[in-house]
Amino acid sequence: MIGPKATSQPDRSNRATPWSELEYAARLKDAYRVLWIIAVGILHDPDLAEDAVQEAAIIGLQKRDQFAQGTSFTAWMGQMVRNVSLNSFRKEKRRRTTSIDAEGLADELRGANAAPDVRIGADGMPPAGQRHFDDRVMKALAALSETARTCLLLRTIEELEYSEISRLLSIPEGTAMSHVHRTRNYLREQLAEPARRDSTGTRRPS
Amino acid sequence: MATGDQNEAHKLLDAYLDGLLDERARADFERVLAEDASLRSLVALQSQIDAAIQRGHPIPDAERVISGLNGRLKPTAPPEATKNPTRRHRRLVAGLAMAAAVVLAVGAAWYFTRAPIEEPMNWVTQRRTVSETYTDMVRSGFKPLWLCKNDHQFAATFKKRFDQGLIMAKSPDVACLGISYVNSISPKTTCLLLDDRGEKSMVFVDAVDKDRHICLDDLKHVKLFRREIGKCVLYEVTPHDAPHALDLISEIEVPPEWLTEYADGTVPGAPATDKP
Repeated sequence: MIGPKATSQPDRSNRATPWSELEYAARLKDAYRVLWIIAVGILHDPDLAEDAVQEAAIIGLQKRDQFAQGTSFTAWMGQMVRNVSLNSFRKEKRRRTTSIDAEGLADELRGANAAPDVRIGADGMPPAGQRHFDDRVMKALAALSETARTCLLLRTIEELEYSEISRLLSIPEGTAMSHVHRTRNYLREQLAEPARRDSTGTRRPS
Repeated sequence: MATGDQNEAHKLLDAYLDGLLDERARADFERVLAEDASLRSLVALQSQIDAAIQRGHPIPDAERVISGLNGRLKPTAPPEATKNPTRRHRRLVAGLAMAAAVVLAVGAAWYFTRAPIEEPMNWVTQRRTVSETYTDMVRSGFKPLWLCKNDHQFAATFKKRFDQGLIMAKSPDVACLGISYVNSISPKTTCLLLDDRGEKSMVFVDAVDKDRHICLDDLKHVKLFRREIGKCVLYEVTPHDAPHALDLISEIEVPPEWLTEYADGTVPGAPATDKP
């Protein structure tokens, strides 16, 4: 599978023997949640996000001999996931000639089934009011920039430290904090407002 | 745009929610919080938003990506799909390749067989979905971490972890084998391992404000039931058609002497504090 290193490859003397496929798969599994969140932060579509992570996983597998041991595997894979996701996002944008704004595009990318129903018994069905609130939250998220949304999701879902978010997205820690703060503010403003404000156009965080 | 004072208040709120305030600043903020109803509403709203974000982003099972990866590695994998494959067609191709490549030379039996897990499982530091936790728990012998001495200790355990005492009624059909701490709904998820009429079932307990969008991914042979009891959310994973364990669990007031009488059964390495 892995042949002799080409002479044009950089000499990464801090790299030990490249991982086996099993070792790579184990690392990937550990990092999967964060990688998926990075992808869904950009694409705002769970299926597209899963595809993007899978595509990046294949690329990572082929390039695993280039990974510098001792550095963050999640950050390394995260960069690949971001690149694949951004390419996918731009490709979808070019395909959809009728989209005129990011919010509309995000709605279309999300598709008809924004969030799969929880397969739970009749005892635990979420109340109708909660579903409406959840829909409003998802719509507000769609209006965010991809970096801001990704920062918020990594903080809210995975409870990552800002230093980790900073490393994953290659942005300063202060920028990550600022994104989360502004998006939280924005969401609180949107969700505290009456529902009719959603139809008049929303003011997006800078 | 919010005024300067409002901006500062929001920044302080976020710092509080992120656990970034020192002890004194946190105490000051909580004093203000106790007196300011609008600030309390804001905190409650943020909690609802966070819960909605978690429900709206159910993270799929990593096994699908791993399986697809192994399918692509197979030397005789089927040719790439047509130039513009649909997403589902690509997944179908990967799935068929996986089905054809039952065992790979590098030991992918880990993913394809039901072999028991031999290496030690770190249930607390490694995050798993509910499905993964149930599957791995069964495969590793379905052994709980510890067993409560009595109902007082059981109630005190949940009171300490989630500020909500719980009690489980006795039943001839459902036996509680013990408790384990896992990192599932949140890093503080507490599980009951049960023998329900000879079948293995689990109840995942966590704080209701940590609830996330739980589903069973690809597990077909079990069902999932959800219930809120007081400040807790409980999910029962069971092969049966009804939640037998959830029907036995109820909330209970925990007198102080129960809390001081029993430790919560924490073993080294398991989270015992209320740190969010």
